[in-house]
Amino acid sequence: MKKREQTKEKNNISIIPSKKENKVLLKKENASYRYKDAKKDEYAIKNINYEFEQGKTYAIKGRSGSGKTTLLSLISGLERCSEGRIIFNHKDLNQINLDTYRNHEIGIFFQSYNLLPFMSTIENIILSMDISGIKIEDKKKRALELMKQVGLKESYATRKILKLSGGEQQRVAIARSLSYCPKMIITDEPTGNLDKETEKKY
Amino acid sequence: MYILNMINIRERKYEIGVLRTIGMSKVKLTMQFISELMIVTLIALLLGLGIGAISAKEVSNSLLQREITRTNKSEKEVQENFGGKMPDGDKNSSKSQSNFSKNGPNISAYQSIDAVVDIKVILELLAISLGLVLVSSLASMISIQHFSPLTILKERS
Repeated sequence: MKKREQTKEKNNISIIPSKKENKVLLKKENASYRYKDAKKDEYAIKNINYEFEQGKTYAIKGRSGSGKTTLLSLISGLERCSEGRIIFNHKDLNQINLDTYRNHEIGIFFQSYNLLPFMSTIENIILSMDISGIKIEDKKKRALELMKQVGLKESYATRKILKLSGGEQQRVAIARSLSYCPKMIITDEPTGNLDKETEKKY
Repeated sequence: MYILNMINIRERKYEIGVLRTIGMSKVKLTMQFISELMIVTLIALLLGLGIGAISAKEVSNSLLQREITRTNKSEKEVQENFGGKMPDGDKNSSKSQSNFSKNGPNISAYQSIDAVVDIKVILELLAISLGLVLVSSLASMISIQHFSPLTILKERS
């Protein structure tokens, strides 16, 4: 029987790491979050402590309502911790500019892709490069390379997002999140809107 | 303009949510909306000034002529009704009587208006327009500060 990696369970969320040992990239220290209109002792998540190592893939599992999305929103800098802290690459997220964190250090994509429907595929990818301010000579070329990497044909470049299938839109979202070479990728139920066959491909 | 701007922001809430999620700062986003409003206002101003400059003189003269014709017609009617004389009024009417001659009132009126859209008018209009843009863009500034990207995206889902 294979030895399984130890999983930590807090608030009914389990975090499953893969096997190698590497430098700690993200660290949670008693991270807690309470909604603004919640009572004093009513926490969405409380006292989460964990270290995420560079180069590994982690899956956060939990029942519906257990706080997975809340945890991801704290890690991705969309919300700040009510208590405790999250340290990314030795920087406390409570003290840094979260916009810069989101457009430089991490890439995010969601179940619902969150692409801009009035823009084409390539425009959505180039947009994130523009926002991050990354210095690339030929952004169009880089975007086309990313499209190729995620399995999208070059002919899709000028197609509007709404003319793509769910799986194709998800690939555009992945390409967008990779466009400025982030240190970490965060995704919330990436295959939630895909059929089983496409999910297996991922 | 403020209300129109509010509606515009509301319609584009999802776009704001996505842009904030992928790391666009509130300041840049606010500047984007203000810039859009400025560009639209500038185009409207140029069109309006162009059309206004061409038609100002003609329109104002046409309106003036219409007013003169109407005034002359009503004075003629009064004259016909009272047989060329104005009715006796009070003692103080002598001042008003002196303004009237046998053929009717002796009013010297403008025959034309020299309506010119000069640089002063343009600058005044520009200043007023920019002021209105800034005031109405307060809507965008306030909304963007308070929007939570996660809430917007959840609502959309």
